[in-house]
Amino acid sequence: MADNAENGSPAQPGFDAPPPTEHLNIKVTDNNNEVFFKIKRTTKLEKLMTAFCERQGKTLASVRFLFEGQRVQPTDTPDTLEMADGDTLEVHQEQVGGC
Amino acid sequence: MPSQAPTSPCATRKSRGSRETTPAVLTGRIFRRRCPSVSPGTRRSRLLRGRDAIARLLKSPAPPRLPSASLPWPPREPSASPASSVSSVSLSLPPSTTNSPSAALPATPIAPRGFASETRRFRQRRGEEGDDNFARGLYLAIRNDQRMRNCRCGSPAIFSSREEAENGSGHLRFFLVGDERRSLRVLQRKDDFIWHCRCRHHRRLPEFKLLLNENGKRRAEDGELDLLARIQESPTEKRARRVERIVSAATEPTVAHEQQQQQQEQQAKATTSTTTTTTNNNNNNKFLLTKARIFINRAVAAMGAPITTALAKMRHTLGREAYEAVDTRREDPATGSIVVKRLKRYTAHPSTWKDPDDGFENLAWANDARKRVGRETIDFLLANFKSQIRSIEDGKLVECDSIEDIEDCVDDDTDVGASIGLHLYRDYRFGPVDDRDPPEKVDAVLNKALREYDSRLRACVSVMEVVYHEEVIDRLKQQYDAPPRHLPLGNVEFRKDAMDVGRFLLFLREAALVRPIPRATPEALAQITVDVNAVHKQEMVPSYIEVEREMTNDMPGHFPLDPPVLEDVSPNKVDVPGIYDARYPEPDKADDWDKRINPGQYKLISKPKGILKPSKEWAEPGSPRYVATPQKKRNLSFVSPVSRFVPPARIPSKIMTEEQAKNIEHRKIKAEVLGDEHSKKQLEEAHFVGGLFELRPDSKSLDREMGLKHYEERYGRFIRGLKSDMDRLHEVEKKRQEEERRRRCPPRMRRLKLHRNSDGKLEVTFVSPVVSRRTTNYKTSSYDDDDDEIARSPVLMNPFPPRPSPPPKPPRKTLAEFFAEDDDLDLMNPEWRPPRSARNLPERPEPPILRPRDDDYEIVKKLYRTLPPREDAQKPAAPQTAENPEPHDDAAGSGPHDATKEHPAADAAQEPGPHDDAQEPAATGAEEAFAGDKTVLGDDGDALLAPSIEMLEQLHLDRQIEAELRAGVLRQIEEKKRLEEERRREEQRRLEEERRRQEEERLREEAARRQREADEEAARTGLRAPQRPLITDLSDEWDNRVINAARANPSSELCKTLEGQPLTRRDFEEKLLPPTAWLNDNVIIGSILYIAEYVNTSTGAADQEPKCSALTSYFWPRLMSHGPSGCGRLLRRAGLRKQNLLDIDTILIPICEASHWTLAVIRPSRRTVSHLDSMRGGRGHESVKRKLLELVRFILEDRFVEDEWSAVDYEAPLQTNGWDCGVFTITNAICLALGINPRLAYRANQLTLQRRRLAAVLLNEGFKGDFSLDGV
Repeated sequence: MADNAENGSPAQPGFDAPPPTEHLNIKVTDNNNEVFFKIKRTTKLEKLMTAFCERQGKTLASVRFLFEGQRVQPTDTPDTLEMADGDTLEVHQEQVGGC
Repeated sequence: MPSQAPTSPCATRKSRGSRETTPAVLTGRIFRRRCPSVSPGTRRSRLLRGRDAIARLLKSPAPPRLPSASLPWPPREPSASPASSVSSVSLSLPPSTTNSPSAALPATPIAPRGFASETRRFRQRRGEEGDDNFARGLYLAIRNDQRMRNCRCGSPAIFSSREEAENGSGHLRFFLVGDERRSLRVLQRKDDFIWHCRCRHHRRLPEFKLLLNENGKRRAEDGELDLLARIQESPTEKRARRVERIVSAATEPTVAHEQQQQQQEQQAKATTSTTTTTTNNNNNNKFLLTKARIFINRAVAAMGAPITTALAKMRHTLGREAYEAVDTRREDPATGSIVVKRLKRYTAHPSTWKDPDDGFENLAWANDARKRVGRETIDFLLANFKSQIRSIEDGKLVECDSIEDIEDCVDDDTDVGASIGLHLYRDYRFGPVDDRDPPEKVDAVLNKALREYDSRLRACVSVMEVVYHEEVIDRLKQQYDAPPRHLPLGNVEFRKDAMDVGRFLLFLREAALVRPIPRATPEALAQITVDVNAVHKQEMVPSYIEVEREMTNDMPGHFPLDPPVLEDVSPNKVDVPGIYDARYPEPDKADDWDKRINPGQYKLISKPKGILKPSKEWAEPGSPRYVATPQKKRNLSFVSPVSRFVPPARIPSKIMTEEQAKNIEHRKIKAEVLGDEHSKKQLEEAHFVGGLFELRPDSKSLDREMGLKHYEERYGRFIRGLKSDMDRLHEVEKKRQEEERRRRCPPRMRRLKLHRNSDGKLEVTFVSPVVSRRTTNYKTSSYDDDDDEIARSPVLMNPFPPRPSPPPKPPRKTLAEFFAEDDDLDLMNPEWRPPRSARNLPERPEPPILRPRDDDYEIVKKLYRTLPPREDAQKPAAPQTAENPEPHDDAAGSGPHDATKEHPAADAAQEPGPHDDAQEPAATGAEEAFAGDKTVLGDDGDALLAPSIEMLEQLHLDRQIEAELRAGVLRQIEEKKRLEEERRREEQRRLEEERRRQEEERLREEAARRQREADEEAARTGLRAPQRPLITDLSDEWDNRVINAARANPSSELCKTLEGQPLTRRDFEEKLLPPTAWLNDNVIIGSILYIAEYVNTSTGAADQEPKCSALTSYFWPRLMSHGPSGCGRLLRRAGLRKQNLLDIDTILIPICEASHWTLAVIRPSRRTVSHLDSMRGGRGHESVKRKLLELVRFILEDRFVEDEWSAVDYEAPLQTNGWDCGVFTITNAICLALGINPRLAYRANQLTLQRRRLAAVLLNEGFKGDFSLDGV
């Protein structure tokens, strides 16, 4: 990949850094609220998503979690998304349009 | 005792001699009402006078005409804005004031007083209300009424001027008057029987019924407490007090309420018994009550029928709901409260009487079984029945279209009474004959009726002979000491026969109602009915016992005439004790409360306990059952036309078309004219909701707005009155027309005969015709010639198929006249020869000499000999009389005929020949000589015959020539016609050819032009036309799968998009399939990724070197917020790099902004960026294109050449609704990815289908298999 620099991750550890720590701090924000979760690298993000929804009183079906613009699926883990400590998950409303 | 009552009706008629075969029971003729009818002439003149009056009215200077009579409804106001017009109208038309603009108008009476086109009711009411209020009120009342009945017939038309109204149609015609046409008037046409509503919804919807009737129920008064209630409900007095009852609205709530109180004051402590008839409307007028009493007494007389039947008939007669009940009130001395005991007599069947005190203890055997009914009556009836049976066997019955026709048969072979009986029986059992029925069906029904009629008569005879046998009581006395309650008589068949007899006698009674017969007979019939009914039910036959009291007093439903209870009650004070309606204590369950209460099945009513609703579960957030977007569950409909679709609550305003808007504007003006606040309000809202409002008849607010109750109270009865007036008039008119018809065309008649055939089966023979009739004007010639043949050979089929009346024969012409008519034909030219004969026959230089053959002479001789010796001078012109021409003609003409067999036309033409001769002295001078000869013809005619024969020969010759000439003329005419026809056809063919050629030319040009245009466009945009339709129907299998997806388990995962996003039922059912649903990101992204996948697989592009690439809809927001540099991850995932970007054909970027889906497209290989907005028909926004260029520049870096790139617009179908943009976006994406022109690929109205296709594609996980886009 030629364009590593385009990766907008704020806390990108170096490639030759020691393997990432076991636990990650992830910020989940929907522009109004920020919630921090501390999860394992191998934990499915579904857990985080449901927890956030419950806290905010939303259903999972009506919100979308995005990591750097990419949709997060419940089966994803921080590993599969190559997340780093302190990364942010954005919560968007479901996009609906008609007129 | 009733037994003394019946006196034999035949006693009075014994002397009628030859009429004795016509028993009197059913012979309407004798007792037929001959009402002095207005002769048609006078009626017509009256009508004419009415029309004259109208004409005069229209001609007279009176009605001030408005400037433009042809102004269309509604009147347009060129300047005034809607708001100002509303205010001005509300000022000019205050609903309550009478000095409305009409006062300013010159006085326009609707019609002069006493004008024949209005009914009195109408005139009177209009006078009371004033023209303006009346018309408006009436109109609104009609509209309300229609809404409350859910009637879709449409309101009465409003004509734009009086003149139009006069020329229009409808019983009530509304029209506009006034300078600005802001006032409504109404006129009634008595002779127009078109009612504005012709539907069958006569009943109000339950919710309106409730509304108009104060919930349809009222509280029962204390006096109405049922004793039973107290006993059953509770042992303690206190609790029983709390038992409240609600009385059905069938008892007219308000009036009854007051009366109850009055009544209670009057008879506070007395023990009274009241008997009342309750009716559902405030039709408490004396007339109805009298009618009811008459009816009930009749019902009593006809006690053989179940009382429910009688009640049903009573209801039918009264035309409304009616019950009767008997209450006894008594004050209980112990508690001091009033106790009411209800006697449910009228519902009780004798067999269910449980009262031990029913009088059966004190019964004694009667001396004579026939005494109660009357010996003479029984004898008379038996004789009557037997004679009818005989008549049927002898074929003395006739059948006509109507009873009156039957009555007109006066010959001895006709049993008019039985015929009428049969006619009525057929109508009674099988309904009246429909003119449209095929004759076979009519015959079959008649056949059935006759057989049944016969068997019923026989049953009557056999049953009555047994039941009223002289010895029957003696035998019973031997068997039983005292009269038993249960009395089996005869075997099963006999009892069944008795039932049939009872029904038949009821029919006879009913027939008696139609055709009045002596009073004694219906009573006797009723009594026999009661007897046979008892036989049928194995009960004691009333005739066999003596009772001390009058029988009828014990009969359920009997209203004693003395004291005349019903008549003493003033119409305003009818005591309505009320029927306890307690079936549904809960008001919300009482949706079918308006069904008829089954008498005798009363239940107790307790106070409504309130509506039990399931408690609302309020789940805490986080609990498994929590639903954060509580959306109403929608019924999905996209396949079957049966299912319902609930559109989104708010429909955007832009969907209203111009036409709709205009329509709404019109209706607004109409509402203003009517002062119709409700409609006005609705229409104002229509601006916002797009005119798609529908009235949901609901709740009291509607009443407040529309004044349902107000108008119903003021005009409800009036309108019903008008309708019934109209119906009555219509009835009269129909009767008149029927009379007219009968007078004009003779009825069809036939004779019926029942006999046993060889198999022992009963068979009906229809014999015809009946010629002898009282009125001779029917005796037309249509019956006298060939019908005789039918009469001679009885057939089982209908001998009278509806025969078309023979076309009127044109008056015969003389030959000279005939020739004179066609001056084209040069027939008078002696040189002319018939062309065909000249062709076919050998040359004939002179007229052929035709000689009669020898046997012809013989025949003629014989003929003359048969003539009477002395004749008048006129008489011998024998060939003219009806009998003789045929033999004479045949005999005389056979010779020449043989000679001219080659001329078929001549044969035909000759036929009228002999008839013509008499009127044409010039042509046949011989005839006179011939006649003259005969005068001298003596006894010995042979000597004188020779010259006559010579004459005859001459005559034949003349005729022959004439015939030939004539045939020639005909041929010539034919030839001419044929040529003409051919020429015409040729011309037509040529024209057609020409037209077709032109059409083809045009089509070719059109196609070429289109092709050219398409090519140009393709060159410009790089988009081609599709090879096959893009959006095609789904197969049934896929349809089912789609439906199942929308019904699947909400939590189950139905499929996964390429992104890995699972799709659930919610995405299909709520977000995609309903025709107006707004698509969500799951559907859009899923579909667009599949498009890219399809293109890449079909072109065999590698993963990282795609030909088509798709980004998710979250790319755009990120691009906007973070700029291109923040989108690296997404671009990488989509395979967009500096190196390969220019090799990519299409990049699809769905955008969701402000609830609107659009599509951004980059086509790097063509170096274009574009943006497709379905709302703008494919054109896009410049800002989006700029951003796209920015993005491209960012990716390409130094490979970006500014001049190569351009922003373009594509044409695509335009979105005209407020929900399809997502589908447009996807479909446009498909088109652009495939390089197809969207404008040619699909139409906006296909998108509902496309939704289902998309759902199927998602379920199919890609454009593959059935949904492959190959070959598009």
